[in-house]
Amino acid sequence: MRRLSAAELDAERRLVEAAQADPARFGELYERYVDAIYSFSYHQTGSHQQAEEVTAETFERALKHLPGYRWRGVPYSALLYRIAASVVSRHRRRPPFLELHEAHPATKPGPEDAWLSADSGRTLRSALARLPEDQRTVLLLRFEAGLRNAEIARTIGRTEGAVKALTFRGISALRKHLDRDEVLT
Amino acid sequence: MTRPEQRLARALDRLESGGPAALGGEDRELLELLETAGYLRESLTTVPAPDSFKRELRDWLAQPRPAPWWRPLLQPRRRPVIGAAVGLSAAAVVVGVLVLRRRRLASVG
Repeated sequence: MRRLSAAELDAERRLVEAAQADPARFGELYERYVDAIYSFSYHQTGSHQQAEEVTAETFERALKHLPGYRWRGVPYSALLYRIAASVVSRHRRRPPFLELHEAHPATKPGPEDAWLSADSGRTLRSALARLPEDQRTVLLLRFEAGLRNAEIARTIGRTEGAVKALTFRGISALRKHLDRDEVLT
Repeated sequence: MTRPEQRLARALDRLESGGPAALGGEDRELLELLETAGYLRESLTTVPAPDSFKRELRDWLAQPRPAPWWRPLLQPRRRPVIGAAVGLSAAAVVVGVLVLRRRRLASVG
């Protein structure tokens, strides 16, 4: 996801304030970030059904807490990612999820199926799945969501130094997994 | 020399702002990590939510929701009422404690 310029950030602040005054305007924030949150959840859980659950709960909680939200100069997506990461963690502690893809295939193949069918994508997803959750979260926030280290730190409640260390360890581990799978050789 | 995670973070920032990685010759390991980071950035494709799901969730979120029962109490014009109620309750507790203590002293005497 592209990083917001100062002008875009200011426009987003006005949008958040408008949504706080009139919850019907929350739809604009939803449209802006639903794909990003779904994608983040999908990469975290590896399941479309869980990604839908996480996305739905994330936006429900965001809407519920909208009146008390205070703008701190970071994209609204930082809050959404924070909620999504917390929901994912909670889901991970639950019993294994029953996937019904075989019995109930999607009605028609979407772009995600094309992505899954590509060997490199599948290998990358498998390598990401082998990382510890905190490292995977940091890498997704940095390289998929496009957040800066300071924003990631605020999102996951860690220091910027910890985010840098997690990035380093995550990329190192990913390198080893991908080397083993002969992707980068 | 700075720690490798600091050097990697700086190199990533430089690359993202369009500059060179500017690594020293001793940073062979970092070069490999930057290559992995580049691969990650290129291959990590956004998986969009299915349209039907997005539609359903949008409609569900748009449903009117009653405000929590306590929210109106926090409005500025209601705050004096809450303050008065809390103050009266505190005064009643203090009076109750004093009365009980006096009775206890009277029974001892």
